[in-house]
Amino acid sequence: MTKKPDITRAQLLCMAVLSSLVFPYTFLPILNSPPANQDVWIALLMSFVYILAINAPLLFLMNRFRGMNINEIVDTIVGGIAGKIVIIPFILFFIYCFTACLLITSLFINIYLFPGTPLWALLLFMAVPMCYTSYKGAGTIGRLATFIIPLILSTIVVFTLISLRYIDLNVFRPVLAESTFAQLNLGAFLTAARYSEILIFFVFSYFLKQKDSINKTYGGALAVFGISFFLILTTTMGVLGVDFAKLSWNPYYVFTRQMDLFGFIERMQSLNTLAWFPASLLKLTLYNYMASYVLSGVFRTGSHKYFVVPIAVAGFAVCLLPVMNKSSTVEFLRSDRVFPYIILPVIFIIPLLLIIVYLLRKSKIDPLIDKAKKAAERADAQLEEAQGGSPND
Amino acid sequence: MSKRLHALLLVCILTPVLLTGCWNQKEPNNLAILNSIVYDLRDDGQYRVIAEILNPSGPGGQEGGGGKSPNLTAISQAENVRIALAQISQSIESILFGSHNKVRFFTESFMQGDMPAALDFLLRDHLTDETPLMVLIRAQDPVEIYSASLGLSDTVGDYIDKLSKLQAKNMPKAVFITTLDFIKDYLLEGKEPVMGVVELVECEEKSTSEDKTGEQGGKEHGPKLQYEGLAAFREGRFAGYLDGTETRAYNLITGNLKSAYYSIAAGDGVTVLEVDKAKAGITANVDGDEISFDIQLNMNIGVIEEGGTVDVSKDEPLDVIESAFNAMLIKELGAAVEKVQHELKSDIFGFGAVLRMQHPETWKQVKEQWNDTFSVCPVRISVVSDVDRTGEIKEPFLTEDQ
Amino acid sequence: MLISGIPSKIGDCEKLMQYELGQSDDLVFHKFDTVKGGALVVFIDGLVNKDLIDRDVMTPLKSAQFDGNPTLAVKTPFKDICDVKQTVESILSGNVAVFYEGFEKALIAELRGWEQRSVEEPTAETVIRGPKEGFTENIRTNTSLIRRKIKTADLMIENLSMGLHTNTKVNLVYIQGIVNRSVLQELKKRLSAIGSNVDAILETGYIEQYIDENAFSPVSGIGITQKPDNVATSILEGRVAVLCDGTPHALIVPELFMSNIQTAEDYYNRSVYASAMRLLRLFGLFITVMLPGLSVAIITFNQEMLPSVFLTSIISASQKTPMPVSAEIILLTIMFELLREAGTRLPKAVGSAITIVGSLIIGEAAVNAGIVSEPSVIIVALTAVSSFMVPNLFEFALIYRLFYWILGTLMGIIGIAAGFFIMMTQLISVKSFGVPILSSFSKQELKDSVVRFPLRRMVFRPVSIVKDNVRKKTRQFSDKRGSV
Repeated sequence: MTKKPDITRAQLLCMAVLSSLVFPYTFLPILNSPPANQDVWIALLMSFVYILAINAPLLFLMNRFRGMNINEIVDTIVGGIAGKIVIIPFILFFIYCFTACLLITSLFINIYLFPGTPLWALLLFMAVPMCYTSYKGAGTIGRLATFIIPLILSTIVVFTLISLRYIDLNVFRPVLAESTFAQLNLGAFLTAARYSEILIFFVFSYFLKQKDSINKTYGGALAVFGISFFLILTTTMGVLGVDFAKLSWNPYYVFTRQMDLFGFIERMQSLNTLAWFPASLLKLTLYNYMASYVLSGVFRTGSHKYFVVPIAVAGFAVCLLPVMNKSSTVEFLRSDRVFPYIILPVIFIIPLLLIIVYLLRKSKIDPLIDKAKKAAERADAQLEEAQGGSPND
Repeated sequence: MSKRLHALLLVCILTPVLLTGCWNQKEPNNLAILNSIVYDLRDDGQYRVIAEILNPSGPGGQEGGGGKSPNLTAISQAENVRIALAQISQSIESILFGSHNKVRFFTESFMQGDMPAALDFLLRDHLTDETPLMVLIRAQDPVEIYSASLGLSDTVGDYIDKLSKLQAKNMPKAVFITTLDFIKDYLLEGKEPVMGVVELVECEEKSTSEDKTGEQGGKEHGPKLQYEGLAAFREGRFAGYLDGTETRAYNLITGNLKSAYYSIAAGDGVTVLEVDKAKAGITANVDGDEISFDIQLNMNIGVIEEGGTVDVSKDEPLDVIESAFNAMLIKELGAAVEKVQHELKSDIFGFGAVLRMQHPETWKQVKEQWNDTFSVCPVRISVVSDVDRTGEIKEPFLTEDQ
Repeated sequence: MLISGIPSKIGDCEKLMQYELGQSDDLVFHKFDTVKGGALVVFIDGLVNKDLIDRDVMTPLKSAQFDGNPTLAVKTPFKDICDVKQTVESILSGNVAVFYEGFEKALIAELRGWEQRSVEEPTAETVIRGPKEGFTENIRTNTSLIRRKIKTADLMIENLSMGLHTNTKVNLVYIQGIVNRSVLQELKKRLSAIGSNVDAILETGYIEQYIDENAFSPVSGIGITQKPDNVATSILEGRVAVLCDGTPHALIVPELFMSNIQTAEDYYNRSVYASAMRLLRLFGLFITVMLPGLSVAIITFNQEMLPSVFLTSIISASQKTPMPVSAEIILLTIMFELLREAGTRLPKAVGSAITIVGSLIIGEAAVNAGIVSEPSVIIVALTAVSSFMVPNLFEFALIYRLFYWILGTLMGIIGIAAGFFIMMTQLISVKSFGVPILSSFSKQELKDSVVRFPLRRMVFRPVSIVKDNVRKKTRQFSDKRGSV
């Protein structure tokens, strides 16, 4: 196994936040989830409770099995062939997310920015930097995330400040009068089900030092994501109005088109693009890396590098299929009828089953966990002692 | 070895991308920048599009123009707006670039036709966006606006755009509606959209601007553009006009009035008042089946001219002025509301939206036929004004002795 | 002749030395008789100080009071060497070898003296405030310049000899107790691998390329400087300096990316001004790397970003020129690089003439002839001027400027964003002797990376480089003197 790369809490937080912000930045799915009216911001606030509930099984597994990576956790709980079978949904999910993000991103560019450019050129253009970064491994991806996150967060803050002039708060009224409690809960649940970034924690928690707390990092990531998402949603709704925002393919991009600064800096949507594109590339890189990493654990190759390009090529090929290369297909895939129901089994049902199996076999598994934990702590201590080992940010 | 292979693969993959050229690249000298555009529907059902395109070698371009006009007007006609635009592109042999478009003009006939379809095109196409102003033209032939005289601007688009940016607060009798505003109102339940109106008038002495030679930028002393009033819509179709005074009332009620001047005869002369701040609150009252609305206006006004002998430095005379002003305003607003209710039958003020915010249950029942329901709802207007500034002198200049 | 040691007879010594050293014109063999026996003095003319030889060696040996013991007669400090090879090497390094009848040893006296450049201000690293001394080609002068700044016994200077034919003297300078031990070990390992495996080490550039682990990266992890105060600051932060005889350029290892944007002057000036200057340099770096690509991207793909008045003037300017905007910019960039390279090589006398001709040709005539447009000239001029703000990153800027230009031409703003992604990935993965070069952005180091906090607040040495002894001595400084 190649030397384990180290990432810090800050890097993990940045990775999770960036990955989770790409879809709100791109198409604000929550606008079309129930209740699909001016109360969606309430559904957003409620969704955080559901996020915590849905992510609880994976959080439990991560905290209990510190010191083991995802393959080892599944192997320890459900050994042998069954372990390999259980891990396949994760791999498929990562590849699905990768392909979906690739498709949505390239279609957005095709619709809003470069209509004349053929899809294969766009896909190729995205695949090259993505493969390069994925090759470099988790350490590089983590540090890259810390450099890209200021871009996105600062654009969100800047656009919020500029939009204060244009926001009409009456858009949010009447509050709660046109939505039922059931609708709000359903919307909250569907939004929570889209938060697949818990899997990033699941895969990368192995690279964190033992003394770093996963829960704090997770909480921090959720907080930053929540505030940013809230700002994106409310400003878009306030400036565009709920109905027009729902109608647009990319409401946030349309929102940024309305801004002007000092009367002469107009059409700042390019700032939006400049911030959004590296974040999308990073999300693609993350999912590609996670799929490669898990695959390398399954096939016990030393390094994840063998799988980077094949996964990229597979995603490429799927996106170029005629049936996929259509606005209507993408619209269907990213809607509430598909996306949440693909994510839920992977982030909730399978981990829950794993916990049940663990509890049944607790006595056999606990010693293995302790052994792995001690080994990890020793490795951390060695790292601290060794001078000039790769120091972390 | 594998590094070399990877490098080779990379080169092989990227070379076709490099060699096939860039699909969306537009050289700047191949662009025709759209400054304003007119959409017209003719009697024979054909759509006519008139585009005002900036001339880069005219004034405002590189050199001083040398007699070349600052803009170029291209006209084309087709059965469909999109085809008409493509034909314009062909006739000027450059790519039409619409991102800098400042104003979209529509004719009445266009607005009485299939306006929602036009809006759909404007929103769907990737080169058009929601920032241009929407303006209705009142003219025999819309092409004539491009021969109007335009103050200090070179093009009609720039003129209207500058009006909206610099003079909006000084023009209470006009509205400046961007495409986004129009769409928001159109999609909002309980409010109908409006549009600004521009009219071609022959040279009146309202406000002229001439340079020494009596010409402007090489144009003949042609008609003038008058930007006043608004056009109201009902269910996607043009419903009627409001004139300048009624538009002022509309701005007051919707809270868009920044400043206005009123002259009233309160004493033995004319007092001119300036509105500094105006805040309107609309309340919806539901009493069983009956819906009524109360409009409450709170205004801060200042005296800027006292032509009579009313002593504006004291409170009692000011009360007289205030009540005269209130009465005049109630009459003006009442007339505007009545016209909108009975003639236009279109809820441009947004009473429906207020009802929805304050009584959502009632709204659900009446929203289907709201424009008709609204036109019979009683509307009570009350105005409270307060003179807070009276200028740099105290007693009026004209005293009783004179 | 298989001789293991120095012969006893002077004639044999002379034959041996002539055999070993050859028949060069500048070799001086001075055989003479003293009152007690024969003596031979061998040295290379031009490498020695003949006055001192005369005073300290020849006169005492030739005097009537000479008692037959050359070790007492020779006035200058010396070493006894029995080994022939070492004797030869010493003579070649500029020492004087004294042989005496029956002594069977060579006395090696260090009486070096040759023409060398005096200590001057370096041409490439000028400062307004701060010392203006720069290194010279003599390694001993250079180490003395460093010694005068760091007067502690912990300052270590280790000697290495490299190059099969040049036997160049190379010194490693560091401070014991602060230096990063693993970096030092790794450096010594790489330097010893060079050893005599190469023909020549003529300049630190050779060493740099041999020890550089990032051969294809636009930015190497090794810094270069000509100023002793830069070296002093660096080794006080735990770095190692490599000095090479024959060149005034010293290497500093490891070198972080932000060091290229920092100058020593930043520490001599006050905090706010220094921070503003650093931000300006960072902005200059951004301009010089990204402006051509960004401008091509905006002008040819995303024209909606430009205000319409500006766009009209660009359109009318480009209507007169035959080439697309991207071609104009790359052409002008190439022409500028030609000018710059020519300017570095040409004699000073014609320097100003060429600059005027160059700027006239490119600036005025090309625009008037309609070959290029004014906006392109402005863009490239800005790029060129900004490139001099960060001279150490010249090659980095050049390579990435081209890279961004290609991507901007291909894919507009998206291309620039992708290029940024790739550039950051590449920079992040570059390590300088185990230290990532972008580690100036960690929490502890932010006080001295993009901005510079007041010296009183900079309590820690850079954590990424120094492993022990992280705390500086400024903690005893009282902060009670008041604030802004």
